[in-house]
Amino acid sequence: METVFETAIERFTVLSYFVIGLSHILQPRAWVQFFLNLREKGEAGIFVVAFLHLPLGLLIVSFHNVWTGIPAVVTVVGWANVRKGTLYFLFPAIGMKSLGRVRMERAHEFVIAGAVLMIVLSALVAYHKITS
Amino acid sequence: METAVQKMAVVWFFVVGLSHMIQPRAWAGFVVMLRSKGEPGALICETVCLGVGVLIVSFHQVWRGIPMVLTLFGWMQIAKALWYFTMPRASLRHMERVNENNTWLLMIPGRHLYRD
Repeated sequence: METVFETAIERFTVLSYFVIGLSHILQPRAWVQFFLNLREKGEAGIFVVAFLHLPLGLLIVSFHNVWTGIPAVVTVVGWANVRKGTLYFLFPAIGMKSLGRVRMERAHEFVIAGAVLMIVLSALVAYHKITS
Repeated sequence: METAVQKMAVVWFFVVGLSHMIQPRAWAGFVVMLRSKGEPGALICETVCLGVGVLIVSFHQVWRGIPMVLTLFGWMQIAKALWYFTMPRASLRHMERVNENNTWLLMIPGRHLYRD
């Protein structure tokens, strides 16, 4: 039986990832420009990315510790955000290398990431909420 | 609920504190970047403080024992955000103290966060 907080975190994750995923699909070039701007700022830009990931991940894993069924996907996504935020805060060089791969001519990769990671994730969890 | 907030705060302070200690120059660069944006940069900084403070205070109202430190920290973050949101120039003056030659200034709060 899920608690009120777990359900709220699932709703929060679905809505956030749906909007961000759709934005990746509709505006991939804007996302590429966003990351190129951050890369220009060096390690300070990597901290901006870490500030976007660590709080989101911590919020999810602190209030949502479900390891069974479809909701486990939300927990895994939370830990993935914590891992990325931690790595970028402690070793920004890793983030620099990762952002180094972002190029305008590969903007279509953002469309794929948006569709696969975000829309599918939100659809899965939304399906679980409707059917349960 | 309180335990969840405490867990979140422990990981946050540990990671951010450790990062201040091992990457002080990167943090100095981050503060310099915010400062270069003028008052909007100060507002970004205070938005982070307000977010952390509101989250703690909303879900963690413990006024006894060691956990009370976290509640107080949450209220202090809100007070800081209120002060700097209404007087962003004060925030900029505070940021001006940080540059890449005195990164040790960032290591001291880092050590406190790390130990908390």
